[in-house]
Amino acid sequence: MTSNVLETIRQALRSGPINSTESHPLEAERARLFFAEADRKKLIDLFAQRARSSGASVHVVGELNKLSETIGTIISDGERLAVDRPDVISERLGSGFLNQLKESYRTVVARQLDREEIFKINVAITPVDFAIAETGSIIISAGSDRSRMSSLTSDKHIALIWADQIVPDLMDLPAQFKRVFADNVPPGFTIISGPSKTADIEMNLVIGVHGPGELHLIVLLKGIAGNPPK
Amino acid sequence: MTRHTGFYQKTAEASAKRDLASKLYVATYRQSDGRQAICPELGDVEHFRQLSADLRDHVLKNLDTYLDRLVANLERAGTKIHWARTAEEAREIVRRVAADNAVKRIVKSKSMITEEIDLNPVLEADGIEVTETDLGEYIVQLAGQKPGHIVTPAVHCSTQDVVEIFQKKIGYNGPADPTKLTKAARVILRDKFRNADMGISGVNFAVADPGLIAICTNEGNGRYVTTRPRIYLAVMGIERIVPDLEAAALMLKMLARFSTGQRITQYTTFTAGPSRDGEGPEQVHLVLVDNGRSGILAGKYWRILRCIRCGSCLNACPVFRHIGGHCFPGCYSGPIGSILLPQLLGLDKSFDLPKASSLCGLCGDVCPVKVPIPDILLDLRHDSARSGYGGPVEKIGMTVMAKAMRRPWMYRFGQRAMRWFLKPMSKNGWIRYLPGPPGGWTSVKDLPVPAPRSFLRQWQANNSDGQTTK
Repeated sequence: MTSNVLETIRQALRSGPINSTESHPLEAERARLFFAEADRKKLIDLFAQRARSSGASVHVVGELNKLSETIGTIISDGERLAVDRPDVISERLGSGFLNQLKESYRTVVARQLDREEIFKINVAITPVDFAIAETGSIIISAGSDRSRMSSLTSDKHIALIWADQIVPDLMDLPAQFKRVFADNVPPGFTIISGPSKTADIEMNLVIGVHGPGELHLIVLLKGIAGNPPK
Repeated sequence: MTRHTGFYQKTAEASAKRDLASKLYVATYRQSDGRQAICPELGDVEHFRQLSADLRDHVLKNLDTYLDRLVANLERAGTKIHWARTAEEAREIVRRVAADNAVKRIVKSKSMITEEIDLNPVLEADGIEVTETDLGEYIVQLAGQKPGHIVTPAVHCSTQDVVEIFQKKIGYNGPADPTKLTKAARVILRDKFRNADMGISGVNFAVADPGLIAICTNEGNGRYVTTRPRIYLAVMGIERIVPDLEAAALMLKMLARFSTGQRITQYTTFTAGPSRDGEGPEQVHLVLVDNGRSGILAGKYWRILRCIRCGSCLNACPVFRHIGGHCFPGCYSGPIGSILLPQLLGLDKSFDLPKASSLCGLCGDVCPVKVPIPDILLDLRHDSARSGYGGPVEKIGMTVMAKAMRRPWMYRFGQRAMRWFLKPMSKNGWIRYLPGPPGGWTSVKDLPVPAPRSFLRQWQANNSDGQTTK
């Protein structure tokens, strides 16, 4: 059957009104709205503004204490916290920070949960692969060392974004994808651009349909961290 | 008499439902307003539309090449590829995958292509529980209806309608509050996701290189469907492909802005293949469906295949805002449905559709990929007249008209004859009733009496040199 459909298409292209083949016409630069920005603060502001407009909460944090404090305001008593990629978190923020999370909350590592337990978490903390200012988006990929379910099954998703992980435009996606994954295409990845929402009942906005009703994007300024995780 | 396909009757019934139009107005205006609010930030919107149209054309002109690449790249990532020439073949492929894996429960993310191939009934006939997980689609499924809009399927349901559907089908006993209703659905659907063996979705875009299947959802159901069940199966029309991530980024920029007035949907989920690490599907299948598309590609209306199903033309259309999607003889509706369904179903079953247009041209203006919908609507009217679908009255009328337009003396005589004929039927300058086929017009509109002197004669009187006529 394979050759059948493809052969029909080839025939259609030969016999039909369209038959020219040209090179790919899209120059990425022509589809850009934002260009590389020397001023990182402007980029963070754009990211924050765009993410907020799609329903996310954005916190910009420059100190470790402030980070703990912010997380404290998000997680309520007794809530189960799933931490994703703890190796990255402790590498970037120190093992002390991770231990502090474990002491303060009912903390588990997301990838150590089985297929049933993953549905019983309340809060997920995940690093991100990179972030896009234009759309206020974060990118989370699949892989053996990371969880793609915890940021979906939780009620609250806290994403940690190192400031220099933010790129200006959606057109930066391909270059970032190459930088982070090289030729190892992950089995999947998701661009997350706000909390789960719907307007399917008479156009009334409802937040938190299948995914988290709260998305907290915590942008970590330079003093707190070095280079973004690979 | 003029011939009809049944569409005409259904539009009459739909426009008689008073509350339908008001529900459609809320939804279509909300989405149109959203589009109009967000699109100016693209700056030169026309530039972006042209880039997107050029990109879609490039893909269509090289469709075989990109399909080859897509298939090779996805297969390398472990995805199983299936080809279907027809809707029936596509249904059989999905049935077989389900049967081979002893699938009992399927969760679906909203998809027009699976509506097009009418997938759910055959799976249900095999004893499989199929659950639509997009909230709007879930409502429509519980009600035993079809989606009323490409993007917002429950557009025809009021909050009270949803309460009644939920009471009857899932034992809901809460208030008529969209938030409470949504939470009730969430609880049930969360269990469906947890226990499903197989997830099925359509495809917003497939990226040829690197090979990726992309689906966009706001609710997050697309993430569940692609990640939780041990089998994920995607169904796509062969034209829904982009060359690379640059092109995908451009399409994403356009799709949500033109569809719901968002910059991007809340979740855009990409799948390359099965997971090798215990989280995510063990099997990934992609069904590539032709179902008439290669025929469209070979014909003069190939630009229809540019369409990315954003629903923008539905939201803008003054006719769709009155009649909704249920009148249409297929899952696609509005202006795009009026030009696409004749290709998929044949003109004999759909020659009425291109007439459901005021020819205002808005559908063309709001299309992110510049499908020339208004031109095609006219061309299809031409085609249907040529094929004799207009009926004898229209044919005779138009033949006489064509002859008269070419002979000024006959045209002038005709004008005078019309006035002589119509004047006695008027009251206070208006004609409210005409006998025979022209009565179709006066049954919904009054006609002013022709002016005592025709435009031509007035023109001649005012421009006494009479240059324009001879």
